[in-house]
Amino acid sequence: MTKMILLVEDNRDDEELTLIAFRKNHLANEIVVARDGAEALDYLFGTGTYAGRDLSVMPTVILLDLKLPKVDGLEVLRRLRENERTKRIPVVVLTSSKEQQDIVDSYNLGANSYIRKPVDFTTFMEAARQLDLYWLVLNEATP
Amino acid sequence: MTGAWFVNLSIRAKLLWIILLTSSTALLVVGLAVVIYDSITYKREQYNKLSTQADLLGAISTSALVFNDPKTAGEYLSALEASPPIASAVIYDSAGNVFATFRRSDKPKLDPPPLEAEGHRFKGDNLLLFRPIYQGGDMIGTVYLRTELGFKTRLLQYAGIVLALLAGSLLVAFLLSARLQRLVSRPLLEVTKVARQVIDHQDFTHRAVKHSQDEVGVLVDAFNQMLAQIERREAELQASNEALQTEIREHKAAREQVTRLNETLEQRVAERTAELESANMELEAFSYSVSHDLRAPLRAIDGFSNLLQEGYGESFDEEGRNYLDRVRAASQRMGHLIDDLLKLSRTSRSEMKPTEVNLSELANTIANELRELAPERQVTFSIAPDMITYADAPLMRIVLENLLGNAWKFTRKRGEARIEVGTTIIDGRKTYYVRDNGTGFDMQYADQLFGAFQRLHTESEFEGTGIGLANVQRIIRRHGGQVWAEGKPDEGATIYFTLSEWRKLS
Repeated sequence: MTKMILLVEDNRDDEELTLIAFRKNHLANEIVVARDGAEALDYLFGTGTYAGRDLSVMPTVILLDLKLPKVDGLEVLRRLRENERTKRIPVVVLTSSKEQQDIVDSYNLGANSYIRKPVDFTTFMEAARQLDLYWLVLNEATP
Repeated sequence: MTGAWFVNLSIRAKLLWIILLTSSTALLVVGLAVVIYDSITYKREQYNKLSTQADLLGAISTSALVFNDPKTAGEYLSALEASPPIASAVIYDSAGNVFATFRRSDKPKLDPPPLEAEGHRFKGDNLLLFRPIYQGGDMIGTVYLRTELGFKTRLLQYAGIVLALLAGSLLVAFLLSARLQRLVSRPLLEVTKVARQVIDHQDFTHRAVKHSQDEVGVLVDAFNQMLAQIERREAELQASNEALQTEIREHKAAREQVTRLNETLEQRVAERTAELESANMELEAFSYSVSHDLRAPLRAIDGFSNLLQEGYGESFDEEGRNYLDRVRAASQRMGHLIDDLLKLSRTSRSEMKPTEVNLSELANTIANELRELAPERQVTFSIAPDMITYADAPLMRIVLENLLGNAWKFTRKRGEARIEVGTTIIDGRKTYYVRDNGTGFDMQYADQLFGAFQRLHTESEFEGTGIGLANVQRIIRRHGGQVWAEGKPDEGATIYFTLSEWRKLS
């Protein structure tokens, strides 16, 4: 069974660059993209446009931006931590913000990791590589 | 009891009573003396009268006795009817037997008393007299006379007279004293009246009128003087009271004004605080936006430039590839600028928690960190021990990181680099300094050192965004201190800073 990543990102540039970074690192995992918080929740709970989706398929890790249209990242995090089906999925907050409050709030709501997207693309690629290696290869997910 | 009753009488009544009692007592004593004197002389008079009568009777009865003729003797005796005081008479013979008797017709019958020796005596209201009758030296008989004195009637008459006199004299005394006692009591009553007015109305302007030079006159003078004194004191007291009142009113007004000003001040402070809070919130939102939104496009610029370089590098000539490099360098540099800008704003916003900070320890830690980053460099650190102050520890770390970092950076070209951290006294204030023997600077640019993004060196010479000293200045100012720099090109620079000592108290 292939491991799948849910990328929640509203910025098309960031989405593209993230996808390229993963591809360049030869990570052949499937990546599902949700472009706002509401879409991410629809996907995870099989509602809205994702109604009827096979809910046995869940992402191995969720890469979550904080500043999102409709429902913001922290709210998405809160709701999926409340749900029995999604509460154990590792969530990596991947955002531009380095505000202390954002970091504290994320961890309080149950984020597993907090990564600030670097401006430098080379550094960003390295971050993507390590992230993938850790969460999809080394880390043992809940059965 | 009687004493108390008398003591509480008015002076007028007292004087009246004294005069009446004195005069009536004197009158009674005189009356009594007159009665006693009169009774003595009256008795003597009666005795003399009776004695003469007895002698006369004895003389005319001699022959009747000698000739034993009781009838003639009885006739002599009956002549006594004409002398009223004599109530009864008896003639005894020499043997003591009753020879003849006489009884006033309006008197009851009285048995002749037994013969007594010569003499007289008073018995009740009666005077009794026995007188022997002599004939040629021989006692031939005795005459007995009894007279009624009428003392009771006489006494009653006297009592009536004395009482009438007493009543009359008392009336006269009463009328006289009622007029005369005014001389004494009126001035006293007047003083009393004035005293009562003063007490009732608290009006000390009244004065008693002086009528005489006696003790009452002295009393009136003393009383008036006392009143004058009280009036003066009262006036002084009133004046000082008024002054006090005025002062209290002024105090009250001042206090009210202070309260009003305080209220205004509190209101203004509240308004300013609200304004500041709102400005702070806007700043938060702004810096969040800068942090988050400005970086995203930079990432895209850098990312896609990189992708261009890697995927399409051959399509560009050398110049084109160089431009791409410069696009990437510029975007990365802007990323750093944004980060530093955020740091600066955080420095100004973060809450200060002053604690005791050991600057010597902090400087040593930072020096070691710098050495670890570039172990190949030869730098001598000279850090004074026990520099302990009261400040926000994380902010002081930023200050020393920047100052030591700068010193480290600008001594890079020195073979024997020296960095010194210590304290000195400047203008009486404890002043900290960080000195190096690095590149230094021209003093004419000293002011520009602390401006944000102000740099005295090119990026290629010494890296940096020019935010470090601006950050240091903000932190020092927040600690109530000052920061300034001294330097000479190619000789080195010294950054001085002070910290507010009063913070130790808080």
